[in-house]
Parts: sequence; C-alpha cells; structure tokens
Amino acid sequence: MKVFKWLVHTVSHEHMSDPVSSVIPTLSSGEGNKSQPHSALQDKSLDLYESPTGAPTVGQVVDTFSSRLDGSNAFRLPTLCADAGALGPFWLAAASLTGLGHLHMATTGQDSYSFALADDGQAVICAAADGLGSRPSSAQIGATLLTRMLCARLARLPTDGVLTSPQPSFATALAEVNDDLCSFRHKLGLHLEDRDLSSTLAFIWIPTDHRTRPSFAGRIGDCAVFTLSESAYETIFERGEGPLNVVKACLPRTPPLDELELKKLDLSTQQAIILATDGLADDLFNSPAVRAWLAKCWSSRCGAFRMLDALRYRRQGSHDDRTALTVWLEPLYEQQTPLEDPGKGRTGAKAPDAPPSTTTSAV
Amino acid sequence: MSKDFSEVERYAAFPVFLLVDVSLSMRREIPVLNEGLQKIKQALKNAPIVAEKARLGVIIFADEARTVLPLCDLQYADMPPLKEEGSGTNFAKAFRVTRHEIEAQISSLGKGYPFHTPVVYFLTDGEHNASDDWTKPHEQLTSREWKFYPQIVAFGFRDAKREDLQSIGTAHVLLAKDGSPADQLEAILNTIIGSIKFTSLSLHAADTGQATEGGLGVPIDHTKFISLPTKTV
Repeated sequence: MKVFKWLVHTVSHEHMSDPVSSVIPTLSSGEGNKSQPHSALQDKSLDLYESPTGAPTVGQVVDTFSSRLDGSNAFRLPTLCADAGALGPFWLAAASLTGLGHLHMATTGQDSYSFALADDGQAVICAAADGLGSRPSSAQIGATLLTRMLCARLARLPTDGVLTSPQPSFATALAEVNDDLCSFRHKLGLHLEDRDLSSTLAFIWIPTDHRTRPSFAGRIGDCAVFTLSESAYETIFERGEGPLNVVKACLPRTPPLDELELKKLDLSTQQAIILATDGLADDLFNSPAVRAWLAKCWSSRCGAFRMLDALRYRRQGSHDDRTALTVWLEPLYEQQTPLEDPGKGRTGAKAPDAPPSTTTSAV
Repeated sequence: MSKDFSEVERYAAFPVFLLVDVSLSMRREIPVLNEGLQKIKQALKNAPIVAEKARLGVIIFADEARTVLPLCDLQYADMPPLKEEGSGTNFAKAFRVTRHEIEAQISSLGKGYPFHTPVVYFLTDGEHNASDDWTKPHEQLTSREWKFYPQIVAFGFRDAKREDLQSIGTAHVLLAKDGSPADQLEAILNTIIGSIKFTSLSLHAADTGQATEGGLGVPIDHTKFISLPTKTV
C-alpha cells in the first residue's frame, strides 16, 4: 500500500515573519511523486504521515496543495465527517470531505448532510446541502441548519399523508424550513443576512416498504441524486447546461419556493440511491474512472472509514468539497406487520396502491 | 446509462481570455506587453494548481480584432509575440470577435464539456474611435441569456476613459495610476496573473470579500489602481 508523507515546508529566515504561519504543510503522494517547493521555501521532511488509500488518481494532478485550517472562523466545519449504520431497514453510509481548494485557501468546507427516521418509523429521510462559495465564512452554517431542520420537519410528517399528497407535503415542509432558517438567523445574533446562509439542497424520502410504495427526491439548486444498480448510474434530476459555478437556486429565499424540483421514484429494482453535492456530482458525470471506483466501493454496504476512503480519489481540477450519502436498498430485515420498532408507532393504515411502472416521474 | 454521463474523462476548464488593445498608441509598450505575456505563461506553468483548470486565449484588437492564441493549456503552447496592428481602436469589433470566440472555443471542447464562467481581462490605453456603436456588441457579449456569458475585468491606463471602462467591466474596473505607461501596463499584467491564480482556486470556494458570483477575484493594489464601480450602459 502506498504511504503518503506530509512534507513540511519551512520558509527561509529572510522571508519569515511569523514562525507559526510560515510552516505550511503540503500533501505529497510519496515515492516517485515529489512536490515542487516554492522558490522561497525549503523542503524539510518532518515525516508527518497520512493513512494510505486505494483511491485512484485521475488525470494530470499536482501535489502542491497546502493544507491549512481556518483558525479565524469559530463556525468552521470539520475537514472530514462520516457515518455508517442501520437506519430503519436500510444500511446508510455518508461522508463529507473538505475540498483541496478550501484547504489551500484556509477556508472552511461548506457541505453538510443529515438523515432521520420518520416518527412513525415508516420512512427514511436524507438530506445534503452545499453552502455557496460567495459566503465562505457563513454559508456552511446555512448548509448545516438546512439539512437538520429539513430532516426534522420531514420526520414529523405521517408517511401515509406524504404518500397521499406528496407535492404539498414537501413544498410546505421546505417553506417552513426556509422560515425556520430565517428566524434562527436572527436568534444567532451574528449580524448575518439571509444570503450569508445561502445553500443548495437535495433530499430523498424513502418509505421502509419501498418495493411497494413510491419514494421521492427533491432539490433546490444543483446538488444531485443518483441511483446505482450493478455499476450503472442514473441521474434523477436533469443535469443543467451552462457554466458549473453559476447557482440557479438556493435557500433561504423569499417564498414561494418555485425552484423546488420534485421527482417520484420507483426504487424497487435499484441497488442503492446516492445524494451528492456538486463537487462529487461533477466527477460522477465527467469521469468514467471515478464512477467505476465508486461503484466498486459501493457494491457492498460500507462502513464509515470505507466511505471516507471512497472519496479520497484525486482528479485533475476536482478541488471542491465532496459529500456522498448512500442508502443501500436491500433491506437488512424483512418487515413484519405491525412493525416491531421500539419507540416508533405504526398507524395500521393500509398500504397505498402500487407505484407506477416508470422509474421516475415528475410529481 | 444516460447521455449525462461522459464515456471519456472530461476535466472542468476555466476559460480565460485576454482582450488586448494593440492600436498605434500601444506601440511603445508592445515590448512590455510581450514580456508580460511571457510572465503570464511562466506564472501559470509555475502554479500547476492553476494549470489543472485554467485555459488561456488571447484576442487582440485595433481597427480589427482577431484571435492570436486559441484557448489552450499554456503548459503546452507558446505565447505569440504581439505587434501594433493599426491606427484605430474599435471596441465593437473587439466585443463581437470575443463573443464569437468564446462560444466557438468552449463549444469545441465537446458537447456537455464542463466549464466555469469565462473571464475576459480587457485592456486598453485609449478610447473607441470607430464609427460603429460598441454598446450593442458589448450587451450581446454580456447578456445573461447567453450561456457562455463572461465576467469582464476592465483595465485602463494612459488615455482610457473612465466612463467607457465602467460600462465595459462587469465585475471589476481598474484604472492604473502613477508611474509611466510601461509601469502601469506591468502592474496590470501582474494583477491579471494574481487574479487568474486566485480565481482558479476559488471557483467553488473562497471569497476574500472581492469575489463575485462564480468566485472571480482580483487582488487589487490600491497604490497602483483606482477601483471604479461598474455601470450598466
């Protein structure tokens, strides 16, 4: 296995003004791939080691990114974040990595994710959000709050009610989350405006008996949702045209939330469903190598470390935050009627009619 | 798998265009310009992080406008030597050719190729002195209805008119001050280098208070430039 070494560059004395800030670690890929030192810097191998990875390198890349933490921002997010475990009848794994661009610029990552089991135990809810880069110190607050508030709101909705009226259910929940976020902003007392919390968002709502009832995916902005089955991906939402870094919609915003895209899904034959922020989504769309690597990683249920490692690939030009939340759809157990789930009641309502035969449809 | 997924590796490009005045009044500064372009090439080569994404093209204008360097990876291309090309200065042709070249060169990367919002660094030492109206071509170049619309950073020195620059720039407008024209031009080119480097890293991420939508940032030395507000024509 390849060992990665951290090379610590030290500034020569004539350039040094602050002994602490002058030590800027950079990531080297180890043997046979030395980083190019800045002309004012000298290599000094202090042997800071990083765990090895099997993730691939794609394209022409260089390993001269600095890795600097944002020490001035009390609301910075961790560089790495991961989860894995059973959620209702499904296995879920999620990971979020701060992008190389942020680390190089000493700014915080801006992605966040969350998940919940519905209060009635009959649906799983997942959300991912990406704070806008034009608000580098605060948008991650919006992303963090949005995902959690949305999961909490959707978890409170009765599953049968959502299935009866999905569009109003999700639209109302989003509008309430939008209001919650604006209200919370005032209470934070940080003199932030709504746009300082701007984030794009995607979510999925999966009933525990997803083989007989439809699921739903929604988004505002350019986060993506994919399905994966035997290494073949499908995108739930149409990929937009035009430049990558133009955001079409975000939250919070003044209602009505006309930009909500909502899709009804038939996941009965799918192996997994994946939420991805745009940094990862761009690589999935544009890189056969990344798709193959991730399909291999996700061919079986992942633990948290495996999920993190899956996102450690290095690809030319791919410097943005990466977040993936994957739900494997093969249930961990067969559901019984009534559902034996301590703390989660079952209403005993009848199952709705079978879902439509198409995989996705607009709601 | 749907057509949204590329079957070949496609690396996101950050298209950067230099739109440079080479009219008669620039004659004495042409050597400084050429030296500065070589510095841009070298700076981008020495910043491989930038080179992972940035692609540079050069368009010149005087009486006419044309591309002297199509959009390319500067690590593998030579910066062409420029020379003074005519007595007039025609902004209208500059903007028309730029619009055409942006669309043609980005489209030549392939359908669905990922790209970031293009940036045009516009550089002039004078004013438009042709009979055609330049505001319409500028409006077409910067129209948000056009999917390839760029951000324009307008630089001026010597006899450049403030009002024109303010109407041309969409993101930043910088008028060089103090020093000789050669010093001012050098300052402009150094600023362009800094902006390309900064923006390449911040296309999704950073903002030091200067970056606009899409992450364009221009490190401004206020001892060398007057920063002017943009104006809609």
